[in-house]
Amino acid sequence: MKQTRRSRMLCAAAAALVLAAGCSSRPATEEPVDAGGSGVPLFVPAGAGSDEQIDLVTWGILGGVPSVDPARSTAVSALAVIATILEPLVKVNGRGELEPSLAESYEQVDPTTIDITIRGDVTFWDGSPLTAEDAAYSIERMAGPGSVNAGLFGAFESAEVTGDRTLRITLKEPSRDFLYVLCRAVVVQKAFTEAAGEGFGSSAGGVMGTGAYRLDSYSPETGATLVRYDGYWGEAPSAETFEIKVFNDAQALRLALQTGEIDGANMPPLTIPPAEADSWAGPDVTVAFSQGTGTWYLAMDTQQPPFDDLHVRRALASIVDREGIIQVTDGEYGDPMTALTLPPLWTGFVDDPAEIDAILAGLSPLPPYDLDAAAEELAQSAYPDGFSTTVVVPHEANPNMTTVMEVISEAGREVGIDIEVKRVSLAEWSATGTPGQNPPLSLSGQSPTAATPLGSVLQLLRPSPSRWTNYNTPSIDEAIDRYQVAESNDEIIAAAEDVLNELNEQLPLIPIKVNHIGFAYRNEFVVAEDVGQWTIPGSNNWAAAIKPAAG
Amino acid sequence: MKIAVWLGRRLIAIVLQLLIISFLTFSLLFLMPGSPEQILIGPNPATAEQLESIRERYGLNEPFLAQYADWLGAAVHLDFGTSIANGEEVSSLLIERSGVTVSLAIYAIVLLLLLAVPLGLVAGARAGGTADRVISAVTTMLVSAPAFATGLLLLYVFGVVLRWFPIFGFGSGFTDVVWHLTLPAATLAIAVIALIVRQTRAVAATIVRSDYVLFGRARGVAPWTIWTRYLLRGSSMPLVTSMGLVLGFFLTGTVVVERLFSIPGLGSLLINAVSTKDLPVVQGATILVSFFVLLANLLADASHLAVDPRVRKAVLA
Amino acid sequence: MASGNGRPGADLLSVEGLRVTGHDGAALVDDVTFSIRPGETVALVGESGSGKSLTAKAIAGLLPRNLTASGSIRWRETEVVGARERVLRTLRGPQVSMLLQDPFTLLNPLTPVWRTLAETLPGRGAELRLLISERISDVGIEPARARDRYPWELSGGMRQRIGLAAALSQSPALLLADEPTTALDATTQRDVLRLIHRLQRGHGMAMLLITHDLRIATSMSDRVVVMAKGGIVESGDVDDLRSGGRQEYTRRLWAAQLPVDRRLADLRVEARLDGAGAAPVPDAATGGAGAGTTPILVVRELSKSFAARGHGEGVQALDRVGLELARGRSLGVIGESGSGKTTLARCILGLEQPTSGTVELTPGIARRQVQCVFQDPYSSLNPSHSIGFALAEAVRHRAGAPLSRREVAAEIAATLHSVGLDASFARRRPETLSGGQRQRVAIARALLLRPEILVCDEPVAALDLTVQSQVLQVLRDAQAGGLSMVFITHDMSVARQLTDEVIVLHKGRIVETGPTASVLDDPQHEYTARLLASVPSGDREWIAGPPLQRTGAMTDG
Repeated sequence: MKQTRRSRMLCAAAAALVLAAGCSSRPATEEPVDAGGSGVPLFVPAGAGSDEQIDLVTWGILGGVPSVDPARSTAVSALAVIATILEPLVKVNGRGELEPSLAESYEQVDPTTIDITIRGDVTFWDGSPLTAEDAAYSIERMAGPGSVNAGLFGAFESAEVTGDRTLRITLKEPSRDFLYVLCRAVVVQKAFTEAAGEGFGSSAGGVMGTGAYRLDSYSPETGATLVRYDGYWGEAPSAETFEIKVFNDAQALRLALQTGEIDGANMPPLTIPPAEADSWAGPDVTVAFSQGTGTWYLAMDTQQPPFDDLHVRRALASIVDREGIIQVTDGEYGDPMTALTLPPLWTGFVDDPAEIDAILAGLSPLPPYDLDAAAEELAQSAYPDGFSTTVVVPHEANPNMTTVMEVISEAGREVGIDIEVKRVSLAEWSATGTPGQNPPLSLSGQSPTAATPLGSVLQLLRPSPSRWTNYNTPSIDEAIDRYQVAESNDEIIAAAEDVLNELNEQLPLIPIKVNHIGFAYRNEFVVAEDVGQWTIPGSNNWAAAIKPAAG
Repeated sequence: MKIAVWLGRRLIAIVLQLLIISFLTFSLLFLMPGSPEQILIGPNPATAEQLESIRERYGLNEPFLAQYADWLGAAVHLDFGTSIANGEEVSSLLIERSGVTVSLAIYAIVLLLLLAVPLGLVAGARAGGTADRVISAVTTMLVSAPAFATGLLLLYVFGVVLRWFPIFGFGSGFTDVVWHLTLPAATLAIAVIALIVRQTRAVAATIVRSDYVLFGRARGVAPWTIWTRYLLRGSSMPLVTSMGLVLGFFLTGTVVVERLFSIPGLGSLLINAVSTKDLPVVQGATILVSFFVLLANLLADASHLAVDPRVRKAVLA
Repeated sequence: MASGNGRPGADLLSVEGLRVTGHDGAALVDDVTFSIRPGETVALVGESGSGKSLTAKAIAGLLPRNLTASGSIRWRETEVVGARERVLRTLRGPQVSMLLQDPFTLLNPLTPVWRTLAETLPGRGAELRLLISERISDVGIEPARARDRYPWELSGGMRQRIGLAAALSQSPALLLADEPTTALDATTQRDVLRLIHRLQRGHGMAMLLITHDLRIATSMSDRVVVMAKGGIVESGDVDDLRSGGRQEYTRRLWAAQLPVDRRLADLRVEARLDGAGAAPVPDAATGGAGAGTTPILVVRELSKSFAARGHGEGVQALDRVGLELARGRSLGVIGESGSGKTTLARCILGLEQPTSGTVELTPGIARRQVQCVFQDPYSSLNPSHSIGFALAEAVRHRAGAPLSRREVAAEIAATLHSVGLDASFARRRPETLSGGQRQRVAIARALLLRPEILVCDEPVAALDLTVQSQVLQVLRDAQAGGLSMVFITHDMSVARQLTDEVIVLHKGRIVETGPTASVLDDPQHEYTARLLASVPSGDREWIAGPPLQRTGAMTDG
């Protein structure tokens, strides 16, 4: 499976379904919550489902499922399957709030210690009970060096079993995001996983989990057949069998949906031209869009010339025509960004959407698109005659990246900033950003690590081999520290504002846009949960939320 | 006996060719920029420790020749290792995918033969006539449309509007597989139909004008015999050679069709593996595809032997 | 017998006012009327382009799609013109069958002999096998030697016999034989004609024999129809024809026949018609100026063998062949296909490396002064250039030094004139020329290179008789001008007219050599005698009697 920037962006799409809150006691909201002024809801409210039992639901996803081992998977298509069968200790609901899942309760004892008590009524598909040992093993495995997700668990120190049903997680440093990251550590059975060895998560090896559906069969290229697990601890899902079909072409996915060969699809707006997005809806098909959290931004190495010069960074920021880019790449399915954060990241901390808008509006403004201003900044910089630089893009894998970069490059030429857009293979592109090969300027797309105000940004400021900004100042370090240990929402918001303000002023990163995400389903079905945009894939059984439409 | 010697020689040649191909593929992939571990980690932040651990697991730290020797040593025992991307056994991946690809290729060949050869014969037998001009115009039009467009059109007309055929997947059981593969096979067949029609037409037109057809008709040979034993068989000789090439194309050039119809074939496996630098999979798939192509050519040559007694004599004398 | 259901004496075939037109409406055959009675043999005689083959195809109802027939052709009661293919199809085979000229393209190369025959024979299994063997045996071939073979494994003569067996498999009442032996060697030709004659008698079959050779026509047929330019010139009893024919055209045809028993003073038809050219001359009289006994070319002990493809045995094409060519003389090399005569020519020209032996030119003669004229006048000229271009190229090549355009043009005009062509031919392109004209251009090109030796490999074998005579006279004139010549031919009559000495090649060896007159008048070797006997005499006796040899060998003809 290709690990494309596109697929990173698509994490958002999966998350839309992934985060439907499984057993939330909150009633579904009648009115979709709007924020960000885009007219697209923050989440799609639950539909009215019936409790009728049905035999089969067939769901289409775009892209193959290379593996169902959570420690091997980053592809959104794989995470979508994993999320239907494996469960975390803690999850994020459709509104961006943390909730216990396999944990009965969790407690942040101090900024670096979390105590978790697991539920006593959970069994694996083979009937054996879930133990604290299994939970600790799953977390350690997910955070270990063999895991592709190890980098996310940078703050993690250890998980110790402290009793039959209790475990304690210790962190190296305080982390506001850690509980959200923990949502990715879906629980697998230790004995089964160790026995399967290298084949764990392959089509032959399989997995052993606790989800409402168990994995009956799966093939990387065709998808998975899931069968309801009768010993499930929570509410039983409607469909006896849930088929996930892999598609490799968006048009084919759309046609299959329209002809009823599949009942629904995680719809990826980025893979189809904006003009075609509307063609998905039809008399039999409902399409629901909500705000996404996948962010596109330019990153600069602030220690490499010419980007060590703030005037250069400001000049660059002034040539980014966000409206123009969105018009070409997303049409009405994208929004410009004003900072490296998004309204959906704030809903767990601010109740009123209007207040979220107000907070974002109050941040230091990004330099607007203004070529004259760019020329002035450049004149004040160490490069008054302009400069040249190169940006590599994985064109085959994601032509949209090329488009975005070319729009920027075009504007840059007007003021003397010469950006060569170099198309390379995905493999070559992936190799940039490894140690010693840090590119001076790069275009990236990223899903947030956590549903927190700085969920999109902290991973970009943390030292790692793929770190691209090299940006650290005492002031921003101080603000981040404050953010990590803050105890009240007000303190968190204040610290986040400080970080975001400094970023908007110093511009190591230039935010560009965010895409909407969508999913589509046949009218015989509804998604009976609030569907939010949280970008922490693999945290919930979204398949269980798909029910026959009432009446 | 002589056929055994001939076959033996050809098989040895195939093994040598596979060896060279495997080494070239390995070298090219080694030289290609990028590293599988980086691709594997994808969008997540990476740690040096993590990268090292993955490199260690797949022996990526060894020198080039040692890596190749390790691969070759296992490969001669038909052990192609496991995928770096997902830990699947490469051999089981290949078995799963090649079943699909081979079925599709054979089905497409059958469709091609059933469509293109009769059309080519008719066009050739009536060269210059209305039927000839219509057939040539239509097939040329078909071949100039990209496979993606043809496939989408077939999918829309027969899958969506008429709903005669399913629009994705592979199916299980013979009739179900045939039903599922009809549109993709037709898409493939259409992509090369003009080539085969033209070739058949050219040969058939020559044969129709030949003395032996005239003589056959003059001495009262039944028309059916003229069409089959004279025209069809005569046209089939250049045809089997192109069929070998077409079969090779069907085995490797199916990515577009595989994507469009969501069919899990070797083409997309190979493309994906190359783009993620999944070395064991690339090696395994390349060897298998090359083997199929070489085998298809061997088959074509063998059919040539079967069809043309002159070649038989020349080769086996 | 198929012919038994017609009224006695009624016409088996009657052609009335047959007209064959092409796309543009031009008539290729016009107003042809004749008839054939059961058992009768009618010869259709004419040169190429006379429409005789098209007439045969029209009779069989097998005209190419772009030609249309009008008038009337009746097979007994069945009208062929305008008939449905479905009707004709059932009658072809039992009523009318056809044998074509070229044995090498006659049979489906993918089908073994037995299957070719089985296609039109009744029965199955052992019964069919027996029938097939019988039919192969009928055409004088040991069944076991041919039954399972493919056509391309057989010699031309055997192929034509198999073709005959196939054509006769349903005992047709009428056989249309279109130049059935023209492509065969002389000895094979006589055998096959005798075979046809015998089978015809045996089957009581009528035959329309299409031929360009008057002597074959008079030997084989009861009546003769002479055609020219799509129409009938004259038709009548065979004796009329034998005595020279009533029409000028027919007399010209007769005049074009070259005698084997004497050398003519002038080969041109016009000269022979007025009598002067027909006078015999001593054979040595044509030696040109400077003719003598000094050898200009000596071939010693020349052997050439070809390695066979695969593991088969090699072929010994030439076996210790020696010859001497004296300056200004003409040496004939006589042989049938497979005799090695073409290999010899190629060795002399340096196109082939001999396995052993030498080809020596007298010192002072350069290799490029040895030029050649080949049989096929169609492939020897580049179709994309004008004749003048090709000839000018030859002049410049020879001259080395630059020549003015005027000089080149003058030389070309003179040479074209010497081969009997107008200077205006320089502006034409090869495709607008007839075969004879092309061959004369080929000779002109060779002559422009001012060769000392001209090697001619069957230069007139593909040409009509009247054209042959003209081309041969050109060569004779060139020889009279002092050119030495190696003249390769299978035709004894041609050898008689063109050469001073001959060698007779058989299977790569020289079987006889000597002055042309003595070899042809008094052959010493049995093979030479057989070759001479196979030259058509025009008498009935020539065709009577059994075939000279029963064909079983793979390499006859």
